[in-house]
Amino acid sequence: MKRLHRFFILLVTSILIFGAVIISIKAGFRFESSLTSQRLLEQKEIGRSALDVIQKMLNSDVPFERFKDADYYLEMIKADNPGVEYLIITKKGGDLLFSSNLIALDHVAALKEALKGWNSNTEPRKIESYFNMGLPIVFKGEEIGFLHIGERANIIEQILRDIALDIVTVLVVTILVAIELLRPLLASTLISPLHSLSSIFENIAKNDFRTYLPRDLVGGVARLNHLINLKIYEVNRLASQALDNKKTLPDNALFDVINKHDVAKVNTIENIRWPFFLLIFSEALSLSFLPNFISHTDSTGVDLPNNVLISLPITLFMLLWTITIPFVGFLCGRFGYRKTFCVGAAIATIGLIATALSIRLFDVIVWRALTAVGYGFVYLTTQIYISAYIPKSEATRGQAIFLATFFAGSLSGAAIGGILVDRLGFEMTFLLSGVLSGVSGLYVYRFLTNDKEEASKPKILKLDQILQLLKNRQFAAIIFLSAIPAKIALAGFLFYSIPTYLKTMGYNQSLIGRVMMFYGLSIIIFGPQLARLADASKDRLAFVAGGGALAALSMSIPFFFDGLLGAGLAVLGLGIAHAICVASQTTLIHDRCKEAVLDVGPSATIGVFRLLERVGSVIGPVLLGIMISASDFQYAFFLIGNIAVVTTLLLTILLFTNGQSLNRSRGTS
Amino acid sequence: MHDTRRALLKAFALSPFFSNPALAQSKTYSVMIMTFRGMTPAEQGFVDYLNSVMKVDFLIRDVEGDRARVKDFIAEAKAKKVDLVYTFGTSVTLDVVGALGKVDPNTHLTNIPVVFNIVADPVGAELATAFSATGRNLTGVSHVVPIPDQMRLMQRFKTTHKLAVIYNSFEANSRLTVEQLRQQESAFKFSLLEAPLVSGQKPTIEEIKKVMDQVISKDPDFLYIPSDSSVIERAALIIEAAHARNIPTISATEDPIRNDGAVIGLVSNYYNAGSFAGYKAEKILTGAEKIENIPIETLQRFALLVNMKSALQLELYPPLDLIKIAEII
Repeated sequence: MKRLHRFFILLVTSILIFGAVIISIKAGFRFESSLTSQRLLEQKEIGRSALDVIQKMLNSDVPFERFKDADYYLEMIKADNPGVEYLIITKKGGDLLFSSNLIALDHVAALKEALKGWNSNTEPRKIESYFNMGLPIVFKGEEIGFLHIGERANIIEQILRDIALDIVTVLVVTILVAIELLRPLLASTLISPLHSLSSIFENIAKNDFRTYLPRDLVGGVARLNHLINLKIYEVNRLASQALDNKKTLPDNALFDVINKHDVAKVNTIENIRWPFFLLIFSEALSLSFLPNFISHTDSTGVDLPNNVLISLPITLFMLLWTITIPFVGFLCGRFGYRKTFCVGAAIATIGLIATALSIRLFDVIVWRALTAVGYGFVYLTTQIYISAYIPKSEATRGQAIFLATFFAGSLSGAAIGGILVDRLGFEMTFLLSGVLSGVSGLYVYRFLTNDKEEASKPKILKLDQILQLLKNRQFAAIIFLSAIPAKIALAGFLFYSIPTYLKTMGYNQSLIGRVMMFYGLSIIIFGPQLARLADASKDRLAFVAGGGALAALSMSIPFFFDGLLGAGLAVLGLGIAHAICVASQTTLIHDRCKEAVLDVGPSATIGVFRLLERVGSVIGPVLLGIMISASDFQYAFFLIGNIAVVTTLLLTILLFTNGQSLNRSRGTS
Repeated sequence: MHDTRRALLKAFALSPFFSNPALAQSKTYSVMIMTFRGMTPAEQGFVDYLNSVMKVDFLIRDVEGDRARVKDFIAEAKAKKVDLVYTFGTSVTLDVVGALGKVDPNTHLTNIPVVFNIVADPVGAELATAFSATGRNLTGVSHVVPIPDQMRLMQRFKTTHKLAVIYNSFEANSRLTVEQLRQQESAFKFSLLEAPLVSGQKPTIEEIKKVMDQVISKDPDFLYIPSDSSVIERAALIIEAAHARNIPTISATEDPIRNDGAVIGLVSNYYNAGSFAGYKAEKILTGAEKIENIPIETLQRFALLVNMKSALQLELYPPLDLIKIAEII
């Protein structure tokens, strides 16, 4: 069934990529020619405004060769028009009269020589590495010289390359969204009905006719349900009839003789994966423009610096999300996953819609805080649900799916949000977020059964539970030597240092965004596959330690390869490293700390884990900030890489020796 | 700043071309205009603005350069109980309302609102303590572009080590300007060559020629023509003398550039300054605002004027980046 599932996703994605690539190539060819003429028009426009000034001087009878500060003026125009490499005024014979600063140009002598042959019939053309356009300077009907404007000849190639990268980015996001949209469709029409069928047939094979298939609401494979239910009903009716006629029923068969009509319920993680994606997606829609939105609100009466104002709602969001964590495990146990998720989605919906209608900064702070509470509910409910319903042998894969869905939602939400806000504005984009968040809640309400966590009594996370878990040396080792360092790497290295590092090197925001995407994509692409390997090998320590070592190595890369390549490799490496180790961390805890987990409860353990690892998110940016100010970016990256090596080594030694002693004690007992 | 912009916008929106007859009041106001040497575009702007928004009887009184006549006009204003007095220039304004701490109700106007115009430095002239509301029966418009901006412009045209300035030492306004020029000596690396006219309120042509000969002999790089009515009146003579010795001229006001051949100037438009003063007068006359609460302000937009004929004669060509925004005369 999984293969069929994968086959459908692969098929649809391939068709989508094929279509998108064909359209992109066709559009690319058209775009290239229109771009070239557009650049020519731009050059002409820049030239026209300079010619107006030259003409004003000439009309005032100022001698052409005695223009004052002409070099300075041409340099000013060049500075105002990124892309323009030079402006040169020549006399009629082509001799250079005035120019912007030519020191940084290649082949200046050849360029000057080529301009000598320029006349009014010469079309704009390539001279050495530049694309040159010459505009005639005319005075009293006579051509007295030329104004030449030059751009890098490969500027159009550069622009096209940038646009191609943008198209690839959009394509990746489209595929992510398409895959996530396919999931509920496949889950509701194929996977869930097949699971139900399989479960019913297993029952029938055991001569158990007491359960029916659910009513078909969405079509697909479930259209068979009605016919099969009729047959089961017929068997049960015959059994009832036989009983009424005082006949004995076979001992090895079970019938629904009292018309209880139990329906086979199948909970798969796919049921929660899509609404989780949708909610993360809806929240991430505002990621790219939130600081801008906040700075547009009315902050009258709040006397704080702009940076603080902008960070206030964001910091409060993170804080409330963290505060919510200890309560979610309790709520799932007390009220069930479906209710907890739906309440979370409802709170987030109210928060997002109210944010859309906010005018004052104070309102934004309040409503973002409320959204954070809903977001926290949904985030942890999903993780606990996946832990509960994934087979124990696939526990790591379950966590990897959770992380992959989270990053898929964040990445595509942030990218699409940036596009939407340009067309719809802040208000409508936030409203749309609210609607999507509401839809995710409705989906869960409709498709999830309201199971509660079994095995332990629901409790609000308390300090003694945290202490109890921390007393377990292996739990403490995984938290302090793997989980917290991973969050330091994420918040401090990836989210804080890398954008700042690239920005200081002069790279633009969209390129930085593309580099950052490597991390999320690595988690999405490699996470589930690597987790499958981890589940199969059963040696999760090797994955946690291996991932830690790779993370350490990746963060040191910019020390050896300064620049964009180093940063890109570091981000990619960190993404793969976290794809290897992060999902295995919780499974390793369940493997190594079984008794402590049973004492505290599985959902409470996840709560404690998520709460404690957040320490890394808080100290990460501060730690990297201090390191960078004390030395520089490269040394800071080298240092954090070395710290990661030490923590990984310690973790390996501690857990390895503990594992050995555990095995020995098992062997002797 | 915002108030100024709003006021300017309103002033222009309500200028004669856009005026709305419906706004006209039924009452006819009486306004006395006191000039120093006849009507200028500044008064025209003032009159045009007020005529566009209300009915006004203007009593135009010209001091003709003789400050002694001011007291007669004050007496007339008091006797006729005019609704408002407009004054041109620093000297007339000082004589009408008195410097701070030297106000005498017998010789100055203390009950009739006074709106001044074309006062270069109302703070230096002790008419007010700052460019803000005065708290007394006085407000107005200053027209002069800040001296550092004028000096920056001059240095762009020609590196100047010696700057000459000719002025009438009897005009308070001019003394203040010279003081401000002295303060810019180190910042703009020039030494100031002062050429004061000391004979009285009406300097003679002979005195001007003599002073000019003296200052020209010191070989200055530029000659500054301040907002000084005695100098402006003889600007053609002064400018011709300077240009004959290849010394370019920079003027603080527009008339010497437009009419007498001064090479450059960064100036306020007199007509616009008059309209702005008219806007303030309207507020006072209609009772929309009390005069003591209306701030003294300057225009926010200046014009760069280049007299190209003189520039060509002196081969002092404007920099290309400045010609773009300059008004060529």
